[in-house]
Amino acid sequence: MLARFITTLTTTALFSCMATAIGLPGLAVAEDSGPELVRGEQLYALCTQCHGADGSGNQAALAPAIAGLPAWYVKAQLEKFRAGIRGLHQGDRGGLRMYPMSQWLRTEEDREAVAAYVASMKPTDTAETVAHSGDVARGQGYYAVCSACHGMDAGGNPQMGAPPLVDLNDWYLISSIEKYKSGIRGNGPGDTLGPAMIGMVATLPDDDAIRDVVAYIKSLKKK
Amino acid sequence: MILNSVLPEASTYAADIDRLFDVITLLVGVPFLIASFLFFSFIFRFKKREGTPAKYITGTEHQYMKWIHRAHVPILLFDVIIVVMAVNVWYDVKQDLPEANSTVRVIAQQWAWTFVHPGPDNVLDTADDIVTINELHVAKDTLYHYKLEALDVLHDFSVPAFRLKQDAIPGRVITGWFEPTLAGEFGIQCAEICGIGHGLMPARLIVEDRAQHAAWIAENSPLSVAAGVEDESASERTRLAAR
Repeated sequence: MLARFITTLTTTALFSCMATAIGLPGLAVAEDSGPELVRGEQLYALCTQCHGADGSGNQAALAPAIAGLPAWYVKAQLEKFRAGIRGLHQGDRGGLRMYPMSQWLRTEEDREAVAAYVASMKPTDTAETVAHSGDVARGQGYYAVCSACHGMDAGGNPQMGAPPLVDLNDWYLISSIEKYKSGIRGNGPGDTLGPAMIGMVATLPDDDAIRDVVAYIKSLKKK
Repeated sequence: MILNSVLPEASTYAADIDRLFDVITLLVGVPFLIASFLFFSFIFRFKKREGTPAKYITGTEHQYMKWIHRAHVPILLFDVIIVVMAVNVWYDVKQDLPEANSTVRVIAQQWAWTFVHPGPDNVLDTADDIVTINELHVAKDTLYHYKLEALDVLHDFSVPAFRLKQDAIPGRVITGWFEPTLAGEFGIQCAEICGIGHGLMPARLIVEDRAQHAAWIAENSPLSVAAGVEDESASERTRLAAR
């Protein structure tokens, strides 16, 4: 009896250690999660390498915080990366990492599952890194253009294909605007929304304006 | 003989490397097969038998040692043959840098290849350069230098059809060469573990004849593309003006 108990205990411990070591997903999924979220968490194990298990991102890996982003937006970006509409530009170092990674999600169901799992994650605190030098008051003026799609509260608008901005890292917002301005992003073949963004960011005349508008976006989170 | 039966030889030095591979395979493989045959046949021949007592031998007597001493001679000879051939091939491929007809820049990063081709002026780092992702275009029978860089971690520029393999090291620009001899489409891979996306870092090598390559250069040069856009704009203006 004792021998059987010890064997069972050892097997369980060994399995748990192996599961942790290889990142075997699914074990930590809440019991009330649907099958899509379970599948999403399994697939998300791949994303944790750069975006982190909690989706908080890693600037060193050029991976933004994604926890809590709406599923429709995450799925749309995965589709764009996968099709080479986004990320296939020699100046887009982060995008060039996402292009091959998105190939792992081979079916639409898988992309939907990952997107649903990311959306289910609790948004993390995206601490300010570079936007502190921006002027919030000036940024509010610049943001008037952005608010047409992203909303007055930067909460996004699915009908316009505009994601929420408040939970994004300031460094990622700056980098994205700079990519749109330089044509690194938004120019991919078949990118229907990119050209609009390229036109919108043209209203930001210089680096100071970019930092100002990002400072304003981040200030909305505090309200 | 062995490699080219499964992979075409698409560069000038591919045959030299294949020949070296064949020689090493024969010089090491044939003795290995003979030794394996003797080993297993002796195990079978001298297995335990009723009425035959086992005998311990030290193996130090001449009649036993000669089988080891005599084997040293071909081993040393084969080593010399392999080293001499390998040094010659290494010198030709890695240390000799023949004069190039053209130069391409190869940039490795997690997890993609960026290739910078010289434009119609055939000079790298000028405005007409053509930049591609995961697709390298070269002309057949043209000697190229490559300038290999890595933006983040170690990578390895591996072109099996060329028998070319060269590490890419962050902070260094490594110059090497190749001369394609066979037109066609071949694989490029990263041969150094470089992160979770390493296995998804393939690229295509497209070897065209010179005329086709010149046409590709002319068509894809940013200056040609810009001129094309201007031409289209001019046509559009003309068309509108005519209405």
